[in-house]
Amino acid sequence: MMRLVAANIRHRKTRSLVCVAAVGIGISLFLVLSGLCRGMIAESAQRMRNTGASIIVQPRGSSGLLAFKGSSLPVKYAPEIERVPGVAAACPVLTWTTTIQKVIYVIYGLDLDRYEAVGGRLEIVEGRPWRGGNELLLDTRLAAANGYRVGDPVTLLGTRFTIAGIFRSGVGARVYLPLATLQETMHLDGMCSLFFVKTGAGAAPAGVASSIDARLPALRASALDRYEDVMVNEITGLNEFFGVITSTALVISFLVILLTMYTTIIERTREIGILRSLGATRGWILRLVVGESLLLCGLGAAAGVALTLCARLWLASFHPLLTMEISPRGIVRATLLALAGGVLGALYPGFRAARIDPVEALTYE
Amino acid sequence: MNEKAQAFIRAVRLRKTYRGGGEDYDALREVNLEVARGEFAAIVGPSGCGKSTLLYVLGGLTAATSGEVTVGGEELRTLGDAALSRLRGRTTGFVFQRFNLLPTLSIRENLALAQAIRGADRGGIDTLLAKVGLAEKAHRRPAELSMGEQQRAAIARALAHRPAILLADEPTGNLDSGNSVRILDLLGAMHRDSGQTILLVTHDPGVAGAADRVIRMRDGKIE
Repeated sequence: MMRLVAANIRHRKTRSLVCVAAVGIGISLFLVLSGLCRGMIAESAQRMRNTGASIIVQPRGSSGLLAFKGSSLPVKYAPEIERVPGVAAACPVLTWTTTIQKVIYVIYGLDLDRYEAVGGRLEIVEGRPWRGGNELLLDTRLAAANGYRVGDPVTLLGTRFTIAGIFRSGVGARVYLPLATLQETMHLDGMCSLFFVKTGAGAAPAGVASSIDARLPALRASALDRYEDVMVNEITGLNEFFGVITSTALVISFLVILLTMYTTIIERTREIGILRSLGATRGWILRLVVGESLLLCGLGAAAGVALTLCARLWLASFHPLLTMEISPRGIVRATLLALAGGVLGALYPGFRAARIDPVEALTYE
Repeated sequence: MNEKAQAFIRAVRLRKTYRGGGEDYDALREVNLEVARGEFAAIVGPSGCGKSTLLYVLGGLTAATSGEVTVGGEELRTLGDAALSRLRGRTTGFVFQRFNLLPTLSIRENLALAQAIRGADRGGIDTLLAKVGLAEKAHRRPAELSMGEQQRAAIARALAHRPAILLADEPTGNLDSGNSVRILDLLGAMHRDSGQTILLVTHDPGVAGAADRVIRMRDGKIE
């Protein structure tokens, strides 16, 4: 049967190529969109974890993401947090967003000494730490993407800064400023957006976070080891978005196969009559149709994965700040989606083919 | 009664009515027929007399509207689609006027597929193709063969699983006289060598002459 399936696909090259391409585009769409979402979130969460802090403290009721633009916490909370049992140090951070070359970035305003006290260490690969004033630090990815070098001027938030140093990417934000400078620039003296907290040796971050919550009811503490889950759950509609692109890939695969196999059945009515005259049962004919659609979808999934890998290479070359995550699990999921769409799409044409009257089929012109 | 004389194919009061265009058309009217095992019979008659319909009903490709068909002791009406398909695959080989080879497969693959569908023992394909004179063209597709060669390939495919019955519907209808003679010689040789029951439908009395027995049909009835 597989030889006949393969021969049918080879014999109708244009139809097969169009079908494989359509399924492949659907699968690639699924992999690229979900890969970009997951990649950006995972990279962002990883950068948060790489700060070295154990806990992030924000105003109660704020979103894990939206609060990053807020500034509703007085810095004077720091000593109160540090008095909670299990807390070793707290570092106030003022976060803001800005655009550089039309791309939005989160910037951190903090004191480097206090940042180091919570475990945050910026590995400066070029230049030096700031000496205060209007100096800033950029990460290597942002510097490479925009061609920035140490000493170059950068205008942020309407203020001209000088790049004092470039640090290895992967820790916290891509842009760091002195806390006092950002507070002054944004007229937010004494305020911050969040605290990075380092727990003491042997203290479990989740337990310490609960203690902070209990002692300081205006604050919300979250252990950073599950920060990625917090982000995914708090981005409004993200899970729904994943649902929509998953369904879209499934529907594309389903419709392409339905149309392809339906027209194939009409075109090959006589062949079905021949197979029935040779003793093929209805079940055999159904398996033939489903087998052909599975092979087409399998090839489509392979094409989709190849297309996605090409898209990742293209993104890496032309949009280096975008991170796309392609996991083996995602590829398996996309392949299963394509195959599920293929089976569903082949069922109606398959049943129709199985029910064709052999004699009518043999006289079909 | 010896085995050869016993009815291998039996049709009793067979009726086949086609419905279409608001009108009923009786293709078969109370047909009674018995064909013994190993018999080579030809059904002759003018176009539209129901001879092809009779062949398809006897082969289990379509069901009779009423009446009974028994093949090798199995009553076809009592069988479901799967059982009927298996019986058809096991006992019957069809040869059609239009050859009906699968165009995407080579001649050899056509024969192998026929064996696979029927669950028959693999093998014997090369011998069979040599017997019909197509050993050299086993890997060609049907479109690369002449019409006479395609019909010989179709006969080889019909015999690939060594069926007890060969049903041939106008097997020489699309062939010139030279190829027709060759096909009839081939069927005669198969019948002599393997003792197959052959039922051949034709409107050509010359072709019918190759058979041991001639059954005449007119207006859906056996005369």
